[in-house]
Amino acid sequence: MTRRRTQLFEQPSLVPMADMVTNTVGIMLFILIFVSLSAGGVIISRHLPRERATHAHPVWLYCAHGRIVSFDANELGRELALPLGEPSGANVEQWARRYSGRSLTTDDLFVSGEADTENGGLRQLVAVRARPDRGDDEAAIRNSASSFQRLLTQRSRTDDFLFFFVSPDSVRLFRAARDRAAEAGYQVGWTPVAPDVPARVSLSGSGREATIQ
Amino acid sequence: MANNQPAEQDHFDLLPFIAIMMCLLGTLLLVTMSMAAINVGAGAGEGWVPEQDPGAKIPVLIEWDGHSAIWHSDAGIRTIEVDLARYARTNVGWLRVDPDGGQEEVRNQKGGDLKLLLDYLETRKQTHYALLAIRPEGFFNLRRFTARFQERKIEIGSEPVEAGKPIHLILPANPGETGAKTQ
Repeated sequence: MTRRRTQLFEQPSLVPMADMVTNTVGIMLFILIFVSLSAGGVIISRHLPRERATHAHPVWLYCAHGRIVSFDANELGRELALPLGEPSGANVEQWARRYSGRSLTTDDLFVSGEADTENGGLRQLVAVRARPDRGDDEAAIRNSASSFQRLLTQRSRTDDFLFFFVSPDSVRLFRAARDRAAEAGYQVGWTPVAPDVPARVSLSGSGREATIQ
Repeated sequence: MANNQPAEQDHFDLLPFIAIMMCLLGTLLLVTMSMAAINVGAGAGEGWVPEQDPGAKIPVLIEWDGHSAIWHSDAGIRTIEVDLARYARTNVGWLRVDPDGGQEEVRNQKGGDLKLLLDYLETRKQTHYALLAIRPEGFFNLRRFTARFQERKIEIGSEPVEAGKPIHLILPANPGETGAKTQ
């Protein structure tokens, strides 16, 4: 009985399947050749930066650990110096030492004062470090409710420019933010900061001038 | 006579053929996807295209990784080991002053190739500028590097670039004397 059933079974023809597989391999070969030829020529067009001085007012932004935070260096400097009073000729060195010992924490940043005297003049800086998980990430900056997008709507496109401090771990974020800022009509500058090194802004006019690119 | 042959011998078995074709198909798929991922995805190179502005200066592409500058010159790509130390002439040779303040007496100055690059740009600073592609490893000492250009009033522009990503400059067909290689 079993033997008879085996003899009756008719094996389906594999010819159509072989045909199909052969065609697919042929198409894949074509795709492979096309990809090989085109892959070497991938080009990403990019605006080429060139540093230029500007009279616009810098809006400071700090990109680190994949987050972006804006800060007002003058306001932070005023807050740091508030308990110290105004520096005067007689006590400027003491004032600088006390200012260098000052620090505060904002919602997004750790802020510390740095000051010294040089040829009788006062060199006053604000140093900021990012707080963990504070600020907008790459996804958030596309959101109109994000702090970054609000900043773009609040500031002046002609009187202000955006200046980014960029840590090596946040290059992609910087590029995304810069593209948004450029789309919104802002001019942009940037400077690199080494990992775990604070962004320093001089409040006394010394140091390197922030430029647009 | 053919009719006397058993039914199984009427056609050859296609299963081994199909198995080989399927293996080939899988391999081709893997190769295609890998190539696409490497060349279009994370490993994609970047071609930078200058602005079409008649007043724009011609960029000279220099990659900076913190230790060496890769100059994309007319003669090809040149790697220049950069010594960011300062040198002062002494009676017996040179006093080498490291960026961190350390001092050492040496017979000869290093970094002659960087001088070549700076000389090249300085003689063309009305028409050319240094376009710096900054690798993450070059972030910590970029300012010391750019100071060399600024001392000679050579204009610069800088752009951060991911580590290992190939960069090349795509200049117009007839840019004159470019100093940058089109690849």
